[in-house]
Amino acid sequence: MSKKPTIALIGNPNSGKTAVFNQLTGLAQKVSNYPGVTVEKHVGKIKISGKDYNITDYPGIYGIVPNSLDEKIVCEEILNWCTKKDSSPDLIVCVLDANNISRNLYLATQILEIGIPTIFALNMIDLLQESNKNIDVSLLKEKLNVHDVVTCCALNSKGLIDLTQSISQFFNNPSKNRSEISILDEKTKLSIKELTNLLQKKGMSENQSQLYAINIVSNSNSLEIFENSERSKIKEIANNSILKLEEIHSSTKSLNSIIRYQWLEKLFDKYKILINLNKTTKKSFTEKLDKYLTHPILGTGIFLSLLFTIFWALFRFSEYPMNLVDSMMGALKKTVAQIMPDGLLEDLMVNGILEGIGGIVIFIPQILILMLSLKFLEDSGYMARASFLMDRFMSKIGLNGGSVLPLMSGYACAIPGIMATRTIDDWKERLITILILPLTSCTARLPVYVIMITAFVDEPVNQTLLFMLMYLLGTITAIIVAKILSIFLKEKANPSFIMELPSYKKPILKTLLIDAYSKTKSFVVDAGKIIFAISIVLWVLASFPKDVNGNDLPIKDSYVGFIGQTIEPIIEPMGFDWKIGIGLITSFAARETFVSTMSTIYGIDEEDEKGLKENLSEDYSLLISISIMVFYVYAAQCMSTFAIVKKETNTWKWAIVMIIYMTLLAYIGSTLVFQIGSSMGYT
Amino acid sequence: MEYIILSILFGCSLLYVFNHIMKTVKNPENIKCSQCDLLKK
Amino acid sequence: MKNKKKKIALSKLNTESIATIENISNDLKNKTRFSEMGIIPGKSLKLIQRYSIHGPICIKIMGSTIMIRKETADQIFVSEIYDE
Repeated sequence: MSKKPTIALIGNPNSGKTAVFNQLTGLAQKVSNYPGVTVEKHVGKIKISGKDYNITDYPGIYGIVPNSLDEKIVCEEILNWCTKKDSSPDLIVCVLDANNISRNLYLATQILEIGIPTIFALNMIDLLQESNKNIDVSLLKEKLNVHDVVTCCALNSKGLIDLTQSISQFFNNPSKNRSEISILDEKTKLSIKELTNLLQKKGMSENQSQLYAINIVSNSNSLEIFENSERSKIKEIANNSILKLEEIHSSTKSLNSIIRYQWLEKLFDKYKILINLNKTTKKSFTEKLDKYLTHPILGTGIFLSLLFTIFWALFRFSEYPMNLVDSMMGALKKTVAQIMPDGLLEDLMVNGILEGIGGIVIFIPQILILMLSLKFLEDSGYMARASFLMDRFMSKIGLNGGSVLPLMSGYACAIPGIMATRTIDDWKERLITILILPLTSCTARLPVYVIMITAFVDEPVNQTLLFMLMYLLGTITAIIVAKILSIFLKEKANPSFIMELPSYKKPILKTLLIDAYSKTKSFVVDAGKIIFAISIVLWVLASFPKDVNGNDLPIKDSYVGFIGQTIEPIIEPMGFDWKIGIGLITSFAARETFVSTMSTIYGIDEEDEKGLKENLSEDYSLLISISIMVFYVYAAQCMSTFAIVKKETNTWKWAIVMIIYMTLLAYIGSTLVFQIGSSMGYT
Repeated sequence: MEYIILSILFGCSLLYVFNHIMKTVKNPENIKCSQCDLLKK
Repeated sequence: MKNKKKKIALSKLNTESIATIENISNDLKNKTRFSEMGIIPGKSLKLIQRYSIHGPICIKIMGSTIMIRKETADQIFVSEIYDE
């Protein structure tokens, strides 16, 4: 029964909850944060004064009733805390943005009414003080009957001292139940009596039932968090309550918001909780910067330049690290070849395993650059501005600015991007975003582009242009497919898109480093494992059978050659041969393995020291390399992506649709490129 | 001797690759992407 | 002094103007989402930036900056507050 004490972190989106979580848990998290809004709960451990605690970070919510899928997860859990008492946390830390205390209190006061011991953490207090304002913490604590109210600043761990102390104090001296605030007047309480009785039968306390009842009558989305079987009963009784309420209030729509904000306004009018030290409001740094960054013309220009710079840097600045890793791997191979006795195992090691793994390690620098750029943009708050600037354009293709973040995440990896779509309210818009996401070229395709380009193009300027062209191709196709899908799938435009623009923050170095470390580790370990395995399988299949005397056969006559030549007829129209065919097959396990595979095939075949690039440029042409790249832009190769699509859409139907349309695009695209190019004389 | 080791390595690798594929398809809830550290609950 | 009570749609408000929300049309889809964020009658807001005539707008309300679409702003009616 004596489990580790559990703490839940609840708060508005953009309140800095996750920064607090990251500062407290450091590396001791089970799930690492990814660029993009938090769409899942993250569990971690913290140690305060020698004691261990479990802490869970939840997606941000504005109220206890959900408006989107990510909010639904949290809201359902909070409901469980009320109805199934044993799942509730020991302590709730409600993180509030001190700069918007009213709106944050809208949620925080509801959390208080749940009745679980709560500490308010007024975050970003530094920003508030910079604008010459402050909050009377003890007054707030007294008037709302909160267990404790502390200020904090999650930019560095020192800023959380008050919070950690407060947590520690709480667990040393768990408080008894405190009397709770009540914001409803007696008449209203009477009107919803039938509903509150029903909710109390489900296990809620009186206060909890009133809290939920007023939400249910004001917002039909509330029913989402209840079990299917309960909904009709609740709805029926709610309708009765609504009729009664309409006798007092003119309309019950948004009634809970109106009542609660009025209550809060009276509180702030009566007590000087918010302190204004200086009457003049000077424009904050965020406001000043936004004048340029949200400007329709200048802002869009800056945004596009940023994107351009990132991709340009991606290509240009990775050359040095790449060459460095390349020479290191070369030296390693030579050393191993010298150490190990000649024979099959040595061959496997040098030409199979090391060749394969080397083909991937080279790309770590580039992947890191891209992921960290995206994370920097997100953590700084800039991503929201990008969403604002792109919203108009997005609406023309049937989406909204809320799809910007998931789509940009797709340039690193489609999976977190697809998960990030949970923040999109409208189901159809969410589905379209999911379906086009894999067209944004993820980092797994990067090695393919780089090898294909550097093997056939010499001019750095042309190289960069071609590189960006491939990314552009995927992006433009995504836009077109979105437009087509929106014509087929949607009824009419959904105008209710709303998004908060958080204040600009300096991304926390610690978070960025933790992120870099965990991504590298994960990449090396997970991609590495599968590539290792494939390298072995591939080498064996490519090295056997031997001829009658036990000598090596040309690779074309090996098992791998046989498989490749079997599928060659299918891929011939695209200009591919059996070697590329093998590369395509292994890409199903991981796209990155294309480079490793080609390295291995040539490594086994060629006895001399020619590099992969030389081999490629001898065997193929620029046209073919473009055809290969086009194939990779479109082809549905990532199984993990389909698995996630299935999970997020709850059916295999859309995953299958995705596989079909992407495969068609890949085949047609590559074939067109090759056939047209050939007929025009390029070979 | 070498052949024995090779066969074992080959067999294990092959099994691993198949396992990886099967796990992904059968259990979308538990996938790990090669590019990120997101373990689906 | 202050307060001319002419009601106009939020979408027609001039940039940099401050206004009080008078009422919100019930036709507004997902009205509850907006009201949770404080877009309710009585609150004052400032229009910070407009993307284009038909594009989204940024407003500052209760200390936060929020972007909403023009179609939404069409359904929110405000009265401008003039200083002096």
